[in-house]
Amino acid sequence: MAGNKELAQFVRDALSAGKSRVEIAAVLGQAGWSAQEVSDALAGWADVPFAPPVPRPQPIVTARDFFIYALMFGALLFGAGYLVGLLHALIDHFIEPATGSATYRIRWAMAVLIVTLPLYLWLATRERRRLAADPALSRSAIRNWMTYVTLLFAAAVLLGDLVAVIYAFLSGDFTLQFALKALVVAGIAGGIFGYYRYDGRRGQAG
Amino acid sequence: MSRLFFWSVLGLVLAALIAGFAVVGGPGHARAEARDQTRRADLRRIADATICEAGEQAAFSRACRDAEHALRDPLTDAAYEVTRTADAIEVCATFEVARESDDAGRHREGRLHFDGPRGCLRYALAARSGQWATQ
Repeated sequence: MAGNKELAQFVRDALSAGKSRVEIAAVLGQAGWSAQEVSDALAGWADVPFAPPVPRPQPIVTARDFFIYALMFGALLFGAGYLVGLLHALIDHFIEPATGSATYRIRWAMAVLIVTLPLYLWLATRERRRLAADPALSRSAIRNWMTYVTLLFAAAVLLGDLVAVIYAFLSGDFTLQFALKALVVAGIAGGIFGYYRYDGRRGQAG
Repeated sequence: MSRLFFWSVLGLVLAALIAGFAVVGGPGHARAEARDQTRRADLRRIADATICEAGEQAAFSRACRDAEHALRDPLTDAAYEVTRTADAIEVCATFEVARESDDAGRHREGRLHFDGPRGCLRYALAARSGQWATQ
């Protein structure tokens, strides 16, 4: 949005000079701006009859947002990874006991989860409350980006899981143990993807 | 939706943590496991030392440097039991949690023979080659 300073300046000047939005869009179109750029530039100013054009709020980028959301999504991705690891180790332990190494994996994953679970839930609840109290905060560009980066990770993991399942099926390794592990990955990545897609859509609507 | 997500995340992770605790045990169990590892290593070093004393094993010369007789049980501080005959050596310790089934994949490095909590490392002298071999 508002990527082009001169375009934004021009739209502002034209609106101040009393030109209508249709006229502005027409001349910009003639000058070679795409319809999307024109509508974005016009959307930067509120459609109200007032002498200097009234700017619409822009996405916000703050260092605080970066800190909070990077920490929150970091805890989510790290914790989700080790939750998968823990469940896989448990599956290994119950289906094929006495392999020894499972206990180390289980202890490490438990330590990671004991730290990341409360951190993530606390940050997420705190941000949800702040958002509910002040919906303007949902314009945080960093929040949007982090949401979509999480979606990207979750989607990549889901696709990778699908590939692994097909590969295991083709190479004849599709055992109960493998199926359970694939199901764990799909469940966790799918849950995160579903939740944040819903969250991202709601954020854009609001 | 967010409430459901919150509680399902919490429930799932807590269930996984509880299952993890049930499988690996608490810190006390982990310490017992670590002591069993020490016992296992001690038995090997004592067996090496005993074989070194026999003195006819050039192949053991590297092991001889690490060999040690005066090792004691990490928990009870009791001496390990060493039984030596002309053609067999048996070094035993009382283990806390290790059992026969843990040794399933350990043929090469010499597996422990368990009788209840008592685990022994056994070596026998092969008559033909004159080498000590684990049983």
